[in-house]
Amino acid sequence: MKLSPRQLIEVALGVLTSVGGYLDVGAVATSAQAGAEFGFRHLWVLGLGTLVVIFLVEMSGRFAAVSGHPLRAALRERLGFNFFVATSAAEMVVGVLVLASEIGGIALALQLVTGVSYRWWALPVGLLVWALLWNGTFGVLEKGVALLGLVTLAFFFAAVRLHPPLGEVARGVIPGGGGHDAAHYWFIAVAILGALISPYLLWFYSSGAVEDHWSASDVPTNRMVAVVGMGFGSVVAASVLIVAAMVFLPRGIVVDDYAQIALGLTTALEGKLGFYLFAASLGIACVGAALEAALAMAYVLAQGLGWNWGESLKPRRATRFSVTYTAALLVSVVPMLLGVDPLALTVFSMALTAVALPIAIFPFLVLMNDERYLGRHRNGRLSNAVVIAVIALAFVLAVVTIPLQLKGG
Amino acid sequence: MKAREANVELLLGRMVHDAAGRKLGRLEEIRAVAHGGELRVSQYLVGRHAMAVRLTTASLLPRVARLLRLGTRGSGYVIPWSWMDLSDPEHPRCTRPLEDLPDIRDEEPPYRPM
Amino acid sequence: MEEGRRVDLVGEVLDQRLVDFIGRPMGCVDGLVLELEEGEPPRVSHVQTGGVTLARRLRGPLGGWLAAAARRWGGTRGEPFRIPWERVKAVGLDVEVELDADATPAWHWEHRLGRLVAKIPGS
Repeated sequence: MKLSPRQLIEVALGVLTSVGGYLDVGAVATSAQAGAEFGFRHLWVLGLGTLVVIFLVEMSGRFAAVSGHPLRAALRERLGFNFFVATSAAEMVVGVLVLASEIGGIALALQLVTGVSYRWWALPVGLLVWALLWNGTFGVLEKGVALLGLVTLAFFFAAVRLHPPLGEVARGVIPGGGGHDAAHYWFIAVAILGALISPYLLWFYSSGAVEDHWSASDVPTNRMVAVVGMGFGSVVAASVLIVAAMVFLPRGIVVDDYAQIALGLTTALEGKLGFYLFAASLGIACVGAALEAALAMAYVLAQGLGWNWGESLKPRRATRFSVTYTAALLVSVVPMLLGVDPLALTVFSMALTAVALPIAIFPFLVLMNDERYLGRHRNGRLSNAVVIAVIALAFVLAVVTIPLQLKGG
Repeated sequence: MKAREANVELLLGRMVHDAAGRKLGRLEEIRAVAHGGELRVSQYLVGRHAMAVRLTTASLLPRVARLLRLGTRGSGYVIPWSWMDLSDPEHPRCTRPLEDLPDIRDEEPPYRPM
Repeated sequence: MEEGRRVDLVGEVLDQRLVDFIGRPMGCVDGLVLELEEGEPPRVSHVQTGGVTLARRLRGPLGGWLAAAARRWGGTRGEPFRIPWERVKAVGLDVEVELDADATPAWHWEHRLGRLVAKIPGS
């Protein structure tokens, strides 16, 4: 596959974006819990989740590149207004909770570094995220967050320095069970999948392809970005798990706040550097995720109702769009202000995302086969089989999440 | 005299009955043809099969139809424009009994590639 | 539109994006009006777009609330905004119309919020 220099740069940037944006508060929290309580035995779940995300991201990008319409916009066009209203209402509610969790992640990172409670940081953090959206353009945000996101590779280096037993790591990559504590094991497995397979990432990526003016010739680039980018991101998530497994499991420490995860990195990287790297990684990853979630909600509303939209536009050129993400941020600052526990909210919103997942994925089956939008770039048999398998998996997750949360949470 | 009107978006999903009051299916699609600069309705598609036609495309339809066991008599009908009575838009009525209606399986799928 | 072209009103026109004469988003085709005449095939007479049209499509209390809101704050004072079918230039993935979005009620709220947005630095 020959890529032009321009396309190579696009791929590199796309990869960096995925790495920076892939890791978010949910991925960190669930991977750390998994490692602390079950060692390496959830690695295969990370692998499965990554594989699913790669396929879905590739499809979202391909759809937008070929048709010039973001995936979520086409949902109303093909599946009708009532379906759009029902799904969007649910996604807005869950989206606000997800956004609140990410803001909580940033606020906690600041609390770790300064000692000042996250409740005081909630409003300034919300203002920061808003200011970035208001004043930035899509390209600037994309590249900025991506570059900063390289800091998260600190987890990878920490994992390497701890010399994990490769035999056991390999065994964790093979699907297995939880043994004695099956309910809790599967609860964490479901939480990991819920954290990784995020509809907001897909809507964001699809709209981003339109913002970056991708066309049908970018289809191969998109494929590479999806595979390599998400693959890299999964390596970082796996590193978090491995660090937690090496540091917490032998000591029997149960992870229930972020300060402990920071401790893990401190141990692994010998001292204060580890601590600050953790805080920086968490903060930056969550800023990326917060930008993504806020934009995703604005994209859904604006595209579904036919408003002009675009982060690349100045706010007064897309007023309804800008007001939407502003309103979303205003609402999502509230939980942290009220002192809701960020980690608990994260787990809760991941569970809700998992429950809503089948309905979010189902449209892929209809849209990715549409000749009018995709022409000869329609899904082949393999891709359709994957979508059907993902919908089935999503159904299982949706059904199993609430009981597991009650029983094994 | 002002001509009467009907709204496509409000007709969508309404249950259509035949002349004898039997259920034909929900209205899923309205086909039109361009003539002399105007767009005029030619057919109304009702029933489960019609919904599948709307949601899938030519390539997938045969497989989906088999899966959902569509294509049996009664899973969808095509109603020519002259046999549809829209005087009550909330209750569209076919003016003929269902035995007179062509089978939806004989109709080609709607989508043409751009 | 070329003579004899077949169009599926629900699948190809309804709910598609509406764009103005220079390609700017103007909303969606929220509704389509059929003109009914005795002995004639129904004619597609207007495209409808906007909050009022959408409100009428929603069943239940949400629709009523939205309709009331549109009457009070909307750009058309409770009447659905209609575009004559003759103004439709093309029907593809988008429905293109020969209108200036700035001059229609479609951008009523875009402009109203614009006055608020302009007060905030950085816009």
